[in-house]
Amino acid sequence: MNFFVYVATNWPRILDLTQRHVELSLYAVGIALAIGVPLGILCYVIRPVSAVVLNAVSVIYTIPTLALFGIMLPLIGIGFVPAIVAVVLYSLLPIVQNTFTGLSAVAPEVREAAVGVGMGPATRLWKVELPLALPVIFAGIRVAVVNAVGMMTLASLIGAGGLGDLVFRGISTLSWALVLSGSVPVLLLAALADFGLRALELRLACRQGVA
Amino acid sequence: MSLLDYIRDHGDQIAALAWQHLLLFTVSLLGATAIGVALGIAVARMRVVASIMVPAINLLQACPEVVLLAISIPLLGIGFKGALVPLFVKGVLPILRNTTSGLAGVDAPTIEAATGIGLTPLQVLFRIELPSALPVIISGVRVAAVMLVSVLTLTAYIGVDSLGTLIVQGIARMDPDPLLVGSILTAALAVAANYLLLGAERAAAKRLT
Repeated sequence: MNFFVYVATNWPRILDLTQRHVELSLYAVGIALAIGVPLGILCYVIRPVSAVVLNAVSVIYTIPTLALFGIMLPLIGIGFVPAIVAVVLYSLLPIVQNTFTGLSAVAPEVREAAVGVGMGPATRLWKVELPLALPVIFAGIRVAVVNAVGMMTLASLIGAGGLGDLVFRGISTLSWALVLSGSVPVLLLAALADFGLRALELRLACRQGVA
Repeated sequence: MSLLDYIRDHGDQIAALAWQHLLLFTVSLLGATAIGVALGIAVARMRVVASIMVPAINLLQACPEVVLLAISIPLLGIGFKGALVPLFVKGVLPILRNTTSGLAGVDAPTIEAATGIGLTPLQVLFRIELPSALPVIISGVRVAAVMLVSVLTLTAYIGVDSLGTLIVQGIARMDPDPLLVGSILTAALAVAANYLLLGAERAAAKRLT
């Protein structure tokens, strides 16, 4: 079947799966942010922790994506929870690493000035260091979102749905139309996320340059 | 206990798949390195091409492996050759990019000095430029190695025997034993390749200073 004919007749289903795909990816990145940013801050505040945490997240990032999803199956089972856990684990590296790097790159003069005006460590972190690290943290979020959108394609294998449903059914039935109707939206989503978040990142960095 | 039983009963199959995976990995990494470094040198010589290629490569890197694999099937069919598109994008391109940027980073006065003492362009390339760019090139090979293990695992879906076959079987039968064996072995291969090449990268950087 022709790809365009397939899309024309099945667009409600493709839209449904796209929505599901976006939801799953956003949940995963949201949770990864909630865990990753505090972990990054912890690495920065307590240096000895950073070696352990950064190594651990980079080892997780090295694990082949299919293997990571595979390990989830016996541990958690099937459905959207293991899919989200796998993507959260995978998204930790860019977020933790960039939070840590962004905070570490704050100029020592700025830090001294903050101490000089009498800020305590918590106020300094919240009012000075984190805002300055924001563009770098944001770059990590962008990488995490783009990765998550791509990786979520595999979520279909453990029964979580998403655009992978079309891709994998297409592979098993050798139907190019199905494969493309799943792949093209994934590529578009990844490109859109990359482009949109990059634009936001530039605005953040510009605002900082002015201020 | 059942995991150990599974390993004992299927030891031959696991060993054969692991061997096949390792073989495909070694061949594709060596191939990717040879092609990536050669193309990288060519691209580095053409400044305009390099300035267009590097952002294009970064964009392609963002494409998910499954999608690359999926769109490669209609073009190249199934079997190992069906994996050539993702293997090229995830294997050759990071090495190409790093070779180009590594060569661009070599200090110009050093090259001038080498030319000044009478080295031919080929000698400058092999004695000055490539050794200085080596840490960056190895870093590209490392990125490629980690991604290649992952791509090879996925090729199980298009009928290539690899450790991914165990994972695919495990998912299809909801059997945790092959799943765990396949996942742990591929993860171990990726982590080991990453650390080995990280060591090589640091050794090459140290020799420079």
